Amino acid sequence: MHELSLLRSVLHKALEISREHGNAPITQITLQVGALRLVDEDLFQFAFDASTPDTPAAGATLCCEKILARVLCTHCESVFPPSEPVWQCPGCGRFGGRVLEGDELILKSVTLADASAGEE
Amino acid sequence: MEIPVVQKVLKLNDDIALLLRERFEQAGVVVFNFISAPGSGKTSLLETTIRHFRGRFAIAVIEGDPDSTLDAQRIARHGCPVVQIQTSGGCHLEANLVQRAIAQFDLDSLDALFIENVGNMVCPVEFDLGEHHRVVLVSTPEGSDKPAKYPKLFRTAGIILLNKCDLLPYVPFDRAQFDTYVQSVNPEHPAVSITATRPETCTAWFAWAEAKITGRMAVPAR
Repeated sequence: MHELSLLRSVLHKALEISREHGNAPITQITLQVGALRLVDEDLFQFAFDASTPDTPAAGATLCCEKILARVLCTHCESVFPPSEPVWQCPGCGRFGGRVLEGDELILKSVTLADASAGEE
Repeated sequence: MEIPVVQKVLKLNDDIALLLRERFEQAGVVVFNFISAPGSGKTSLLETTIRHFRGRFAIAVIEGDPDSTLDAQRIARHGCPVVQIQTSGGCHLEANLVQRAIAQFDLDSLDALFIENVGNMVCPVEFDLGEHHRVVLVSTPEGSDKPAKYPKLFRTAGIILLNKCDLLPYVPFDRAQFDTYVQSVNPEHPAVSITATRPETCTAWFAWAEAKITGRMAVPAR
């Protein structure tokens, strides 16, 4: 359940941005999550809902954009989607590889409610 | 209004880990982060290793557990400086906890710092503690499929230790399958067999750790 720790970091930044904009309500937080990250999206959402009441992030949508994994074979330079449980290059049959994409865990953007829509 | 951020989610932790690593470099301390399931033998290995290096290297230990000071008491019996971090149920150590713990050591007088993470094969993997090397343990009763089930842990290991090899005659453990899985997730680091409670079986581990410690110590001297 390390998702709570990850979330603390996301909320820290999102609330800072909200503060810079006069505590504007946050409507959406968008993350990019690589397929190789050990993050459970449902747990993430649960931790988010549990941590946000009474903050400008209450009721915001947590949007996780998935990034598929791509691995480079360091022997024959094939690029392939890693198979589970082990990574085996379809080109030369060797094991292992260097991660090109899929290890991301990035806070991409924070969406704030427009000031004019405040009465909603 | 969408405000672009593009910042690593773990930036807070990673920033502290970076500071820690600089601090460790400055002090000439080599830092090892021990990760395994609960009960794999991390503390036993630390005890055996401390005994082996006694009088040669100045070692300190940080113990991470959800509760109790039992592990710190075991380490303290060997006359080794130790700080127990109780995570109050938390499933892993984070860099800020290590930062607080090292304030209790005279870092400059140390050669090596052993950090025993909370027993868990998932969560600790994601959190950089400023360590130089990850030591991953798995014990024979846990089964030979662990590297396939927890590939990221094994992928980030600087050394993989297969512990409790004295139990091999009594537990169903497929060594060939284990080695195939290890090779597939971490081709550079084949597993080293040990029985942590028997120092005579740990020579390859001692040699590896010694090379890492003396390698680092040599840097500031020149």
